[in-house]
Amino acid sequence: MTAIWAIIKLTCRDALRSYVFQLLLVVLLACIILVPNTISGDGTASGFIQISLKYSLGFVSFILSLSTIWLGSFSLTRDVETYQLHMVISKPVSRGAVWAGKFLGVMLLNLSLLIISCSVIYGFIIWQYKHQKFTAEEKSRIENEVMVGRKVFVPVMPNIKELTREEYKNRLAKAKAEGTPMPEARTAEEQKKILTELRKQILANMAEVKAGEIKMWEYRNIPSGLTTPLFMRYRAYLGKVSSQDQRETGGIWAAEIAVSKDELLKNGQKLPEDSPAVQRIFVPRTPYPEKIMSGSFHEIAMTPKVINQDGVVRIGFQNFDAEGKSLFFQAGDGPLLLLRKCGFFENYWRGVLVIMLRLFVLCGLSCAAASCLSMPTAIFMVISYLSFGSAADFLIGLDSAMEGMPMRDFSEIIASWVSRALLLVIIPMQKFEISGMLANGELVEFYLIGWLFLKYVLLRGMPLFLLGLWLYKRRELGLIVRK
Amino acid sequence: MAAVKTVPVVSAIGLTKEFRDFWNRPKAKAVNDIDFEVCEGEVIGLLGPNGSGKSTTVKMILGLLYPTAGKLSVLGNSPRDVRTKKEIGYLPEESYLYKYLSAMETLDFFGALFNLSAGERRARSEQLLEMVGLSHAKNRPVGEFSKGMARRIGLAQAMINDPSLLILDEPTSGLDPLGCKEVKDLILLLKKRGKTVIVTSHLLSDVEDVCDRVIILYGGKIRATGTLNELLTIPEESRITTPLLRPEVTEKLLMILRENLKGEDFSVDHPRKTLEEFFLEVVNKARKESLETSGSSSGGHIANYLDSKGEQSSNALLEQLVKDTSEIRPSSVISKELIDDKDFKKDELSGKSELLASLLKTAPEEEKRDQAPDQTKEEAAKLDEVNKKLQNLLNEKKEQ
Repeated sequence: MTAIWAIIKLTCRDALRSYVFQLLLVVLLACIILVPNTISGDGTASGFIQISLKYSLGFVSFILSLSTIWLGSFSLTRDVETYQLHMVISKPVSRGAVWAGKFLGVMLLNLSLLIISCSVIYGFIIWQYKHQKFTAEEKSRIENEVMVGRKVFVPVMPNIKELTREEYKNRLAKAKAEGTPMPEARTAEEQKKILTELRKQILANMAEVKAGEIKMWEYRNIPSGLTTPLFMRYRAYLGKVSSQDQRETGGIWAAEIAVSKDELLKNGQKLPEDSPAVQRIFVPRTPYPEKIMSGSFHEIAMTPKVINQDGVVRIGFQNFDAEGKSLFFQAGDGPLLLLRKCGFFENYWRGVLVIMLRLFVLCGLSCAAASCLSMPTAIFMVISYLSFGSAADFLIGLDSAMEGMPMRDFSEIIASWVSRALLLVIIPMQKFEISGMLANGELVEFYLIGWLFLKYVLLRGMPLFLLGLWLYKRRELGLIVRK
Repeated sequence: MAAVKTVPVVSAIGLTKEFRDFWNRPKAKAVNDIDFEVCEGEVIGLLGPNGSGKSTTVKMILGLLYPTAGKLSVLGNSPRDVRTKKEIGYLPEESYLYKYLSAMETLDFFGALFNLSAGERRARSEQLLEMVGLSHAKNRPVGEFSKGMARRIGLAQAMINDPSLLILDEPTSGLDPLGCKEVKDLILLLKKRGKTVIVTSHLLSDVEDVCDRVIILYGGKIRATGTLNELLTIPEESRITTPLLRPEVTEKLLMILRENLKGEDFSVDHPRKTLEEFFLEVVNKARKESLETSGSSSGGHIANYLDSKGEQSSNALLEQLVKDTSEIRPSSVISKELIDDKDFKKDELSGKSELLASLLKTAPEEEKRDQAPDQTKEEAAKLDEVNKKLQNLLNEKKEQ
């Protein structure tokens, strides 16, 4: 242990002397100090806190990721290339211990910096919240929407693949009935275009709420018996999905609530005699259309009564735009149901834990690459690996969007398979991005942390780390040409 | 009583190292099927020109390179075995040290790699720095050290674990003659303590001074191996070293030689000191006059932990060294013994000659003593007798 600790200390000292690391350290300091003090936000108090949080954490995470990649590669290759490792290896220290010492040294340094930086950011956010001249309403909104950890529930989505196939069949049948040319008789390319277009139309229709129309969303597995309010977050675009030409519009939100039969009868409702004792009816939030700024996020607090016995929540929206324009709700923008689970402190440090996992993976990858490669090849290798990870994840995303669509190009099929193969060994680092979640007050669930650890650290990362260690142990260090 | 078979410290059988290119095609055979053993307590020199395979052999002993063929064991284990390295000290050709660490931190770091406790590391580091004469620079970063100082700190780190096998790659490279002398003395001290030392050096005089045995490599093969006596003694020639002879005695001796050698070449001259010996004399004299020098100065004290296992303190060791020196008899005494020895046998010739040769270093002082006025005549007569006796021996040898 004395030997490993000596290597850890030496790695930290060595790292602190690296000019690249010193440069990154200056940038890190600048980010911590400058970012929160220079951003203006979207003009609202919660927007200011959200953006401060998102950008500060995002920058810190990015810079420390770079620093980890650099130091992981640098600390291992430098000793080899300057022959200093000859002196170490000729002592009774196993190569595994040297590798572990270097890895732990880089991790220790970066984790220390991460904890310091994140503590400063946390302190700054709390200071801003307490000392800025925010109104009580603004503070309440920040507490409920930003400085909180809320579990996110997304609406149930229909099976797009099935819907597309059904629509395709319907259109074929219609064409046959009308005696127009059959799409089957056309080329494969045209068929593909039709299916792709159909899919787009279905998705657009799902997102669109025409003027005067009502759209419903259903949420499942919501815990019942809650006493705290639920929050619904949404963003609707007017006319087109674009940040331009957005204005104030109108609409009515309604939620399904359980009301006893007696109460309904008291209010003059006419019900059949055999109707159940408890009725579920949609109750509008306001009796008249409320004003909604399109293109921006909004949150609405809802009573826990909206949750039925099966843990299901149903909400509806009616478009009352004065000019008769449609409103579009993108899938990613919700409406999402948010349920408070923990406070800001806990959620924030859960997020920091995810960044730690990210640094752990990057450190392992760079040490593994540096075990058998020299500088700067090791760095390029890691960056290429990460780039492939992002590209493969993107291609897989496209592929799943087109799933079930016949007659795909050969190149698309190849790209799909290559991406799938790559994702068996490549870790997409964007999965570790949590600054957006924290800024939106979304809960960083332990399930997510465990899933990231199991799937990416243990199952994908660890075999690569062990491969690097194995190569390092087998490497003939005497063959290296000194720089 | 059955002989105890000892395991050689290093054993190589058919040791081969072939370097290959990226496509695994043979590029060069740096070491080609060599066999050798290094026994416990031996100081062995690995000699050879550049590219002869010395460094490759050392790297294989240290586990930095893996043999392509053959078997290599170090202290009975594989060279890659971590346990083996507990007993090894290594000084590379250049001291590949962490330049930002101070001398003290450097030794502390390498001590920690041996899992020594903090107290032990501190104590050993202090003693080693004292020993290599770097106590005054213990807080200076080693990156600022001169080459000589870097060698000294390199040597100190090689001994932090009190190794039983010390591998020294060009140990005197970059050192001044004084430093060279100290390193050589240290090697001899380690040998006395039963340590095994492998030295590679281009400075053949250094190797000659300290090694029991040498292995000469060329083109990856062992071209010669043996003790220095075996390799360096020229059995076909004789050399006699005596105190300064008066001209008439020299003339007599030459006459005898001319008569007996019958036209064969021979030479008579004055023995010379080596330049190193002369330099050391001058420096030692200056030191006595308290002249100071910059850079590292000799510490001279052997680290206690290195010394104590030899069952004597550094003072006791010095006393022993003094005692050993005092036991060397002056040449005049040996000459007298030769004269008085009635049963002088020819097979003792070589031994006596070596004994006389070993007095080379003390010759100048002997000379002064021999020239004392009241002894001159008596000594001259005795020398005549010695010359006669030597003449007889040479005749006998010729007849054989």
